Amino acid sequence: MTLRSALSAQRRHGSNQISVAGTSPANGVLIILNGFACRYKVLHAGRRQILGYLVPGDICGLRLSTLSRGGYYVGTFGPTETAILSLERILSCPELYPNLTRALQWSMLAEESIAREWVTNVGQRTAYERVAHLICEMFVRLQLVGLTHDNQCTLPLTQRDLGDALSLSSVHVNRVLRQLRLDGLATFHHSELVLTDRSALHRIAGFDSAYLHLQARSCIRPSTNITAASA
Amino acid sequence: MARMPRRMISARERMIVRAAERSESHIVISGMLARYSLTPDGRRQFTALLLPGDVVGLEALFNLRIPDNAVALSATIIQPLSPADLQHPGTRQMLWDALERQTDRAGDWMLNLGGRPAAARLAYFFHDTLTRMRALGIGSGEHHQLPLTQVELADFLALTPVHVNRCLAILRASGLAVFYRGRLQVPDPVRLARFADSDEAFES
Repeated sequence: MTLRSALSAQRRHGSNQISVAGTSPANGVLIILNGFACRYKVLHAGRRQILGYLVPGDICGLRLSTLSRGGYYVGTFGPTETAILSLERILSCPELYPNLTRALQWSMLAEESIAREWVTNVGQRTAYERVAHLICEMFVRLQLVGLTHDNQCTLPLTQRDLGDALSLSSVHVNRVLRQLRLDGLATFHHSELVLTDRSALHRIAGFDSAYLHLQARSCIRPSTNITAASA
Repeated sequence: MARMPRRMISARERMIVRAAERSESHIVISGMLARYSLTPDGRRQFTALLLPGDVVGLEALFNLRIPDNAVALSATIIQPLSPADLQHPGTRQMLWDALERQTDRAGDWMLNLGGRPAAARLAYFFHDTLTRMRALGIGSGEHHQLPLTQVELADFLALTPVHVNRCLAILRASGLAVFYRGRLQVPDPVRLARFADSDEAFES
């Protein structure tokens, strides 16, 4: 039924930046169907700040007002499939797209909540805690969309990509990852993340998943909706 | 918006307590609040300065647990939101716009903490806050009420109070901003903004 009719501009991307500014309609949302992406800004002196990662099922707002003001971009890591949805169309007729409306609302609330948690990451947590915290977050989010197996998942990110989200240099990230491995908490090698001691990692990171609003997400599962909607 | 009675909260009153059983969503009518997180060992980070038009705890309207805290920084008036408000297209649009703006601002704040040295970080905070207040028509002329202590400023900026004090001295000495007893004076906002991203700030 509904989702297909609301989807437009379904596209595949390589591992380059998606030119968000060029998308149409401008006031829409980008949904990640497959792959891995991030929202980022470019700072003074060309440094990139990653504002949040996007995994399959995630929706990212593409407000014209936001884009023209701050110039944030969406970047992809490896092959990624996306589609554009019209925001007004969905939010203005919730009764027509109930699952989609809920998914979108959840996404917008979680995006804000994650951004605030990352502020705390950069502001208060040590490099070691920061890396641990990000690893915990990514694992939980990927687990939710069925992209983990046991204590492993694929995270197609380089140490520099991690550093750009955590305001750390790649050298620093490298040193922390080595320490996490030596401490028997987690290993990250060639995009493969293994949580060797998940509860200890959560404890050390001070990780509490409340900010991800999982209780709502578990009954939404956007990836499931897409399949159901297309059928 | 549904006419639920407005609430008045006094300065330093906690408005949202993390993971409370019962919370409500509100929109700020007047005054100011800070949203903050605490790490398990008690480090505090102020994550957002909320001014009129901002939403607080929108999660609650969707039956989600609020993951952090909010405290009033001055006498503040808030308007509770009810699920019925979501049925009204105008209100709905306003809430999502506010949320999107707040998400965007959190990104800018991440960038400020991660990317700017201390004095520039403070300059950015003052400039951004001043710009927002002017757009809202709060205060006039050169003086603005920003009722924050140096400890609270420190928790916004992820600096120690001693470091904040030193940065305030730098901005004062350069004639960029004077902050004293909760009053902010900026003679030339353009110069202050330029300083926040200048090489000079990055070398100080």
